[in-house]
Amino acid sequence: MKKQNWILSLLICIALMACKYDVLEQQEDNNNTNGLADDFSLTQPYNLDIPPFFPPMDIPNNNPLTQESVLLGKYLFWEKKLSLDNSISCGSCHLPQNSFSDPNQYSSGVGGTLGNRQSMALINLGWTRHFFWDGRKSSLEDQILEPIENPVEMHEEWSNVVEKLSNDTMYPKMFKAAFGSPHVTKERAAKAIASFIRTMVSAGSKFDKQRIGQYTFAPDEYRGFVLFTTEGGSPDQVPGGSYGADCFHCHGFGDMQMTDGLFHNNGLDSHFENDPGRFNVTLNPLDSGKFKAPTLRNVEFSAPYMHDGRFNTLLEVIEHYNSGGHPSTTIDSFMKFTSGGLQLSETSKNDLIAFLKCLSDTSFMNNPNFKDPHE
Amino acid sequence: MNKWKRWTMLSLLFLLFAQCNKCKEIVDPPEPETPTQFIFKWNVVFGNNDLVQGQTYNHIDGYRLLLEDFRGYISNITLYDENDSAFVIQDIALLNWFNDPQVTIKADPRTVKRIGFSLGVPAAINTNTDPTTYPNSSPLSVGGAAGMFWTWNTGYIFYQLNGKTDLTGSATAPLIDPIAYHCGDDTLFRELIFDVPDVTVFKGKSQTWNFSLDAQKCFWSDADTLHLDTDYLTHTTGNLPLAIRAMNLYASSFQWIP
Repeated sequence: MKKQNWILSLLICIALMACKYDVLEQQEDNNNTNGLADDFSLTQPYNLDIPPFFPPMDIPNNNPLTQESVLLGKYLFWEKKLSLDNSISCGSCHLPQNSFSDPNQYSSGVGGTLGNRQSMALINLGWTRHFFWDGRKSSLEDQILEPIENPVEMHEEWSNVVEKLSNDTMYPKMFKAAFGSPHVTKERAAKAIASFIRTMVSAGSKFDKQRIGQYTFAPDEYRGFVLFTTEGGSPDQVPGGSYGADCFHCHGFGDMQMTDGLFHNNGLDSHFENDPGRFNVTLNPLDSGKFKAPTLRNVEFSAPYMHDGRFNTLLEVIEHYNSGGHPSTTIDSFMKFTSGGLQLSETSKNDLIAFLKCLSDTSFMNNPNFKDPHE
Repeated sequence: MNKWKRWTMLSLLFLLFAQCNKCKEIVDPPEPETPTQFIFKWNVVFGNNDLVQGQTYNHIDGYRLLLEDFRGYISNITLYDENDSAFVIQDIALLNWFNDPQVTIKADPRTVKRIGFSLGVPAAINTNTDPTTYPNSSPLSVGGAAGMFWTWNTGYIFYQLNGKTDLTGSATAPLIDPIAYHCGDDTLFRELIFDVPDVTVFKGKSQTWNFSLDAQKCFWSDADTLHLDTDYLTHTTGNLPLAIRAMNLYASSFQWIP
């Protein structure tokens, strides 16, 4: 009889262990690489309105958009404790008045160190598939982890950031509200900032309004739109040339983002030793000199332009394309005017600029939801 | 007392097993069913050589030719049974011809006497449709199309071949002259049907059909030749005649491999 009791007890233990394994597995689904499970059960969903003609936004299952994580992300985005000497936040190089980019050619990191690329404008990144000019990260969460430790940016160890935020009176409570426990981790911080950035949606430009029938282009804007969407060059020089500006190939608007999100060599240089761009990620020689086509939304406010900020005005950018650019072994097939150029007239250039300004959305830049909450 | 103890423990044990999902799975594992699969596989070559992205080949006119991007939509993948009834088993796929292209489709078992697929996007979903209505994972979404969606006429590029050549004809000069065939228009939709030996594919079995795609034939064949000094660029609009020629050559470059 005693023996039977022992066997029964043993069976109960085995059953209990199996059930515990079940629970652990579920916790792991809610993921966190450091073993901390996120609990979103007490959070409030953040209702993000997807603008007309925009595609659905893919949000990772392990980082649902919640009011608590967006609020935490906003505080962290503007938090200078993320940098080595508590002098720089994400917002220091992504200024609202510049459409969340930097008016300087290269941004100043901690101690004034300079990088070699222009800070990209943060607009509609919830619909972006590749991050950084060379696309080396494929999720917002991954992208956000990098600038903290980059020596030419915030130059801080994540472990120090975690310590600083953990010792703050405010953040542990905010992490608890967003993730179910007060523990600060770099993964949670990145998730929160990613959530905040996903809410940074721009869809209030004249172009957006025109698309939904609430605005009619002025004559110069319309002529610029036609140029934007027309094949470039003379038909005598380029098959199919229609004297357009040929912008639409790389800056398409099928999903209203004004970029194809792909990598192109747009003829800035013939050699790429200084910055081979996408090649550094893929190591494919065919990718030398290729960089991500940026969105043209708010391009009026996001100067200087190109990956290295070499152009200060929209006119300089147009002059570059009008000249045809520099031929090279990886130049994009869309840059087909390296001899002869686009041959745009002065009027056409101005019309094109008038259209590009239709992509401006000051309500986005002035949105109080995106402003520094520490001020 | 002993009896009471034993019954309590047995009840507890029963409750634990009943509540535990993991245990349920262990006790009653689902029977995995092997699907019936139809596999379409393409062997992509340039003449007698394998096609390799970034490799240089020789054009019949003597120019060197480097291919960078070679993609296309395949649609209406169809099986025809012994009564010649057509069964579309997959609507659309976007294939990168450099990346061991293959489509594996789960479908009902059947006897097959002919197979087919089309090059391009069917008219009903090509123009006047909003690509943002597709999930981002769809090859018809703007993101999934990865540059194969044209924004200005709301249609898709059916077939895209990009590369470089050197029109000086030098043997050593860098290849800097772009070539680009971007073909996409309802009139360019091409349907290919291949007679194959009758085969009955039973439930749970796989059937593979192999095809060759010869990129060389995208440039020249007995019927036509694209001369790189004049026929190097079409985005269809503005140069539809060249797009038609390029599409016809592309369609002729597919063969079923017995």
